[in-house]
Amino acid sequence: MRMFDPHVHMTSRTTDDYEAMANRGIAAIVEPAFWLGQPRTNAATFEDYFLSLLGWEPFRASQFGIRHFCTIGLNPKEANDPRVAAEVLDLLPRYLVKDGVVAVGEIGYDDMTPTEETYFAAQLELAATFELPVLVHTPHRDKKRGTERSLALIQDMRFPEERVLIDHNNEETLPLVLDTGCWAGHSIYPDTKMDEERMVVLVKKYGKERIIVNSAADWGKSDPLKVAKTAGRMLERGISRADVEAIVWDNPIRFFSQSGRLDLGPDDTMVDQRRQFEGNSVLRGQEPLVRS
Amino acid sequence: MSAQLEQYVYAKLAGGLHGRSRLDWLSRALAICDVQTLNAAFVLASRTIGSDVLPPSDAEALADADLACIAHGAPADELARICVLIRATRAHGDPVALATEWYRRGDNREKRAVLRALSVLDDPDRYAELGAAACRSSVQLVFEAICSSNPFPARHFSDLAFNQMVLKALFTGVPVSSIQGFDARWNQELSRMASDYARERLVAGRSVPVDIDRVIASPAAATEAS
Ligand SMILES: [Zn+2]
Repeated sequence: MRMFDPHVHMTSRTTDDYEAMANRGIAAIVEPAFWLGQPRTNAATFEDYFLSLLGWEPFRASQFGIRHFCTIGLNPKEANDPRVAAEVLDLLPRYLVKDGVVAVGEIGYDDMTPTEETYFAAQLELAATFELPVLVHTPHRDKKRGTERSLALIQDMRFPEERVLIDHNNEETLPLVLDTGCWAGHSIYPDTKMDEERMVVLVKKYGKERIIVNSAADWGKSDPLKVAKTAGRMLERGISRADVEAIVWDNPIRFFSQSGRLDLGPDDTMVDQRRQFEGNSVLRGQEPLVRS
Repeated sequence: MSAQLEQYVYAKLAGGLHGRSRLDWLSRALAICDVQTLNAAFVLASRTIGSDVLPPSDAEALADADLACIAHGAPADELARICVLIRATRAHGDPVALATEWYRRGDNREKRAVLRALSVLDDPDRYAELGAAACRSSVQLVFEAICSSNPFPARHFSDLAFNQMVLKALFTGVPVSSIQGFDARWNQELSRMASDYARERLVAGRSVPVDIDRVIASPAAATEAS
């Protein structure tokens, strides 16, 4: 089964992970811009990070036949840091316009400070300007309240709900999200957030509409194969193949296609057309002759 | 020379699907002299012009050899970006800073377009540092944009930069035959580097690139032998 991991921080993963993901059927991924495990002290390091999400990381993914897209944004944790926040916000327009960017994100609340709210709102406005959907991170602590406040802000700003993906949902927040027009993401984690078995229960209860699962794998204890493992578990537990495919392929594609930039065709950035015309691709992909 | 390229790109875009709107978009973009707006056009070119590849036979219609080489097998957005970059470097007080900035802040396709453009920019020698820096990219297609089917390196690289590029081509499987002006830039040091590399591979029990002989042997000797 072809699968899409719509939230995975590959920057922190190895090529072994890419290989394992490709072997399990992951054909496309979205890497959201987030923090890097420790606070950055300079806006320029954000810019280098955005550039790696647009250059180096798509190349790494392409070596394993995986299409790589990204979201660009100022994450809520570092929105609180006056050393970087304003300057990073000013950088965003330059990068939100790029081809591989399929949403603004991860944005939202973490500690639910007033500063986080300011940057959350400012980035919703940017998303409207650049006609992009948004990927909304919800806090680990006080999650239900954080989700309610996120939904309220989106409504207050009249941001189109069908262009919003609220992420990291659990049993308590999912019904709140589904009551709106927003999409609901679930991060399947080894110990925290959501697991495969609980996800099966949620799908049986709420169906497949606007439901998305991801691995949210990063530099912490996490597993980039969680989308594949969850799909497997859903099938085992009797959820139909069509519904599983909707959740792990069609839904994320429908959501991110709203950017107008989710081009799943062959990645011609990585294929030298000149090579093909000249028919001299002899050295590519095959072992050169051994001279002894 | 840039007028010739623009004409060629216009002619190419006029045909096919959405020809009219693509043409309008590019002519509007090129009518602008403001560097910021030109950069926006440069970034948006893939989504507005598309990335369909222009058939190679048409590129031969270009009288200028460099232009023909750049246009050969190039996608539409890349050629549109080259036209936009040429305009922008002429509109800007510091064209090297501009090209370097567009390269640095570009995604892989934008970076490629900057590198493909170098030899047709005014006074190209001043972009030698940018071209040599691009050879350090680990993104293979960015490296190939400067190394392969590009007249720039042979004409403007130092021996050190040129030799390093050729060695990297051998390392990464880029055919030596695709390096423009190779014979004229062949040198003893390059030959030594290639034979050391061949020896290192053989000692390790590894394969050696099929075209390494072309780098080891002097082109003059090869001509005499044949
Ligand atoms: Zn994340």
